[in-house]
Amino acid sequence: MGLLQPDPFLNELTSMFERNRDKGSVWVTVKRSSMKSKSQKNKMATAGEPVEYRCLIRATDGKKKISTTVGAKDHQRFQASYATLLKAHMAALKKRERKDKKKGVDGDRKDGAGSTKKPKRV
Amino acid sequence: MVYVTSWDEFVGRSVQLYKADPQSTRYCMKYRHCDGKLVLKVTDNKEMQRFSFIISSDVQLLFKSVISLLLAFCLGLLIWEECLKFKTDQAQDAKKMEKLNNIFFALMARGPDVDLSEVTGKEQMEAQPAKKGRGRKQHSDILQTAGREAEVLFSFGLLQKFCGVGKHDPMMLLSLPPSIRLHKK
Repeated sequence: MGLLQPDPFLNELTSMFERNRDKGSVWVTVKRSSMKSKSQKNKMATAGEPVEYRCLIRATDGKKKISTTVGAKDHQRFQASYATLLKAHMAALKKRERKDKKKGVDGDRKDGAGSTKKPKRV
Repeated sequence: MVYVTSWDEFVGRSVQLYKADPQSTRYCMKYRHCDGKLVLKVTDNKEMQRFSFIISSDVQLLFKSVISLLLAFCLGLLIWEECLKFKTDQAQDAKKMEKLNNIFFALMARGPDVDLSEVTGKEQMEAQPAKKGRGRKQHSDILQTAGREAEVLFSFGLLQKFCGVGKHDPMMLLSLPPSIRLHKK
């Protein structure tokens, strides 16, 4: 495994999340990189060529490591698929309970206010 | 390592940290489904020199330690320690994290000089039609409770038509208690 294309990377990441549902963690790291060694970079800088940067995304579950790079052109498509993936798998986080309680209170208030308004109108 | 409690502060500081050093700043995420925990970390790998007093009977060693302490102190002023962390177990923070993901992807793929309002502007544009939808929902709730006249309160054009309140400041009317507004009809 190791360095993959963005789509196979997303598939592997999906299986990683699924494997680690009951036990374990998934780490995802995002970093800017030119994917070149320092010497190559220096050569390019002295030659006057612009160094092209890409976004390096790494993922691991403690045992397996996968990674991919995303350029400026395809990063939006990748981030959309990545967001869908995360939304689908991060289901264990708590839903906001306070808001539901608040909604209940607000709903009662509205009804209460509405009922008091009516007699005045008449 | 600092756990930041406010999300907006975390976002602001991490973007700032990235722009200060785009090459070495990384954005990490750790998710544990079994615990329902999500931890975000943004760091630039720079550490403030930690100093601790070394008590030594050996004078040379003491001298060296003093020098290193001074050096560390000076360096500490120049090299700022930065590691920002944010932990949560709330589903709403996962949504906020998506926005931060978008920001970082744009910053890292295109460059630190990317106009962030493009990224957030898109989200605002997506949010606006959603907001309008919510407004309409509120409309229907109020219609049920306060009757047709209430609709007037929420659209200025109709207000002016109905009560001839074009001369009045609309904001003033909105601040009046509802019963009085209804009376004016």
